[in-house]
Amino acid sequence: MMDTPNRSRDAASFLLVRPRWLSLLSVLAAFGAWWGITTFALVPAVLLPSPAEVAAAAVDILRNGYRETTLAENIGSTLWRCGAGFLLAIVTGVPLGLAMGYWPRIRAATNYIVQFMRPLPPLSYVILLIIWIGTDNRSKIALLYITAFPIIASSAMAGVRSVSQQRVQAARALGASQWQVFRYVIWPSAMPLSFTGARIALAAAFSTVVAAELNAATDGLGWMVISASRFLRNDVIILGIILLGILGIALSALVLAIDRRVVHWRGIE
Amino acid sequence: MNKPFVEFSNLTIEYPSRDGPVVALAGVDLAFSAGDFVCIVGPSGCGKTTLMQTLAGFLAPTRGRVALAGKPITGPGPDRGVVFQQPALFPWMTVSENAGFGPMVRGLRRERREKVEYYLKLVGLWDFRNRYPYQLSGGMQQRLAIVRALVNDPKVLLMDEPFGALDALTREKMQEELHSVWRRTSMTVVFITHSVEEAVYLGTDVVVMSPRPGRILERLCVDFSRRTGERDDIRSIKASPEFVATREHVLGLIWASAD
Amino acid sequence: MTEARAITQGRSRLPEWAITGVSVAVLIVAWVVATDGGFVDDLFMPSPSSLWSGFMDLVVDGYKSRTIWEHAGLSLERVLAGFVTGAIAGTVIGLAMGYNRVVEACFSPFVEFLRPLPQLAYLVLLIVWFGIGETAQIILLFLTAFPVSAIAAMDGVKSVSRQRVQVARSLGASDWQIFRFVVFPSALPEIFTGARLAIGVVYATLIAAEIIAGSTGLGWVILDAGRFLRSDYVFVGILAIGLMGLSLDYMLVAIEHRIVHWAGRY
Repeated sequence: MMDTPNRSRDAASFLLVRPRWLSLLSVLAAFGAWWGITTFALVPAVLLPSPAEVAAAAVDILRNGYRETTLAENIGSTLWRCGAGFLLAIVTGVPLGLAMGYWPRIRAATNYIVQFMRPLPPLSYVILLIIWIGTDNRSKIALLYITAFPIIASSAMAGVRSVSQQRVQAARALGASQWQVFRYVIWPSAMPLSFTGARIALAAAFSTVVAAELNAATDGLGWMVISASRFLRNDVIILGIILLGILGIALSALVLAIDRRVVHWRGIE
Repeated sequence: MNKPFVEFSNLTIEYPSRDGPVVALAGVDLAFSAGDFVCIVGPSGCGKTTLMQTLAGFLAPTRGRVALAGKPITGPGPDRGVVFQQPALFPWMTVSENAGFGPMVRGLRRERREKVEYYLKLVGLWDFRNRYPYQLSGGMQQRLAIVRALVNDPKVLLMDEPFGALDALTREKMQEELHSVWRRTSMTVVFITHSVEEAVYLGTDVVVMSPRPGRILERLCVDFSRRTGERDDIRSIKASPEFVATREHVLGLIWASAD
Repeated sequence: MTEARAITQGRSRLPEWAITGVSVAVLIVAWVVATDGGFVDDLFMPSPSSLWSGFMDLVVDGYKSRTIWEHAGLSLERVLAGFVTGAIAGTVIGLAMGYNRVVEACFSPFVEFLRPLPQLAYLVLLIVWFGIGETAQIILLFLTAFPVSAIAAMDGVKSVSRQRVQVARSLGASDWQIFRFVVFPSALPEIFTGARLAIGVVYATLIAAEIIAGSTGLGWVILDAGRFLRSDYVFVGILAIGLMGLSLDYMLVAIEHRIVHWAGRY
């Protein structure tokens, strides 16, 4: 097989279809299958509501809310918990991680705690947080904080430790003070890994927030989904899943966009 | 000139780009015989690599044709071995598995063992046959990449800056080794390099190319590589007035074309 | 890649392991003083001795008719069942997605949708469909591992060096041989990285699933013990979950080092 200079040897262009359209087609096919299954009642209607029912549920919830809460409130409280825990973790985890990367003694004194927390599934201490703090918002925010914190701290630390010695030496040779070396060399060099950590941490916090809302909550998208399951409102469950999926994609796209802007040199060097 | 073994006729390569097509090669005509050692030099971006990629069959001509032994090239094939600047070895295979990759995929199990042994011994890698590529030095890795191409018995060996990433001493040693393999096998070699000295020292023919769009500026026949006897002293050949004059002539062509 | 600080700092008197040791000792002493000294209620934080007796209880008598080992075994079975099936299916689809743009275009909307979706959201639906039990949990874990592995395998195929493929082709390899001998091994390091990520997410999801919809397993033990305010059992459970998670990761790293011995070295 031989490439022509424009390298158009892939099957998509052979089919004269753009990959983007194919993706759309495949999503439409899935919707079609869903519609077909429900229209011809291939599975009991209790188990799988039709697209129309889900759309109706969406309209209904937009207008009347779900059990005394509006959709905006539910989305808002989920995002608020997630965002508050995540931002707290950034504010504390990044400085600690930078310090751990910069001063071996701080690393020696604290790193083992961070590394022990990191692989622990966050939900395993949800019950402990409830015993300690109670069932209100604070224990959920604390849970998300503990989810995001070790990821952010370790990646900031790894970022500092990955700074090339030559770059530091070059800055010192040019007359930079210790602070200037930190400000202009180490901090920017640590940014790509710190941002990667922040992205992973946000995704983890978002996953955890829904789980946290399944237990002892009175609002939030996770609560809406679990509450709907108790009332066998499958249309609301599917609506909730679609909303959570879109929200998840939007959150990761947002952080990725910020990442691209701030760390514009990522992957080039 | 007798009947050409490799022939580029009116070869034009255009790449599409946002500002219209970029002409990488503009009507290149070049022919050479079996057993020639053709070195191609020129400034960066002159289309040397493009030329090699068409002969290797990785790239189809926009216009014109490339032929090997009279047959037009339609794709990559075992009759043309390639060696890149990066050795591009298979790190999950041992040294001998890398060397025997060609016969292995072609189902030539019997030839594989003896060829691999012969060539690995020839370049001093036999003792390392059960190691993995990451356990070899840069020079050894590149030797292995060359062996991998040779074991397949190609009619033409295509080399794209094979020694570009090596240090100066290793580079000269590799030049010597390649030269002795070429003398022994009388294989056809197409050799792309940035080093004019390397080209003049190794080549039977030195082809000088112009900056983009790539054209052939001049083709020189040199005979340093065919001389016997004197070869044992690489330094004295490279320092001889005749060698220096040829080298400076080629360098002058490249400088003039860059203005 | 050395330490940024190496030159600028003089030698510290205490070696680093000693600092870690001191820090651990301080933590333990603080724990003992806080609990045995009566500053913190046993309800919030068990003392070392009650943690030990809680551990012995769980080992000897078990928790609600099953020993701690049986609970751990059930959790492990679920993790492995979901992880192995999800990782294999994800890798196969991911390889195809990396190799062929049509396959990629068809599957990527679903993979991209599934990946950031909180796993617990579709657990609810799975419970409605399959009821509370093993089926729902293992399908959940399958769906958790699948997109992570698929994306890793796809990225692995896409980052295969072009020259390596060209060399293989010019040596006479067929399309299948190029896949078998060049593309697949080239993608293996990323496939393993994906597998480690996947098992981490699967494990976290499992504990969450057991807390929400289980009646056995380590995750359920800590939830149930928490309801009865047995914080000694909760602590033992958390430690057991942590240790099991670490050993799963170490196992995978050991396998990775054996199989992709060249990763990061060439």
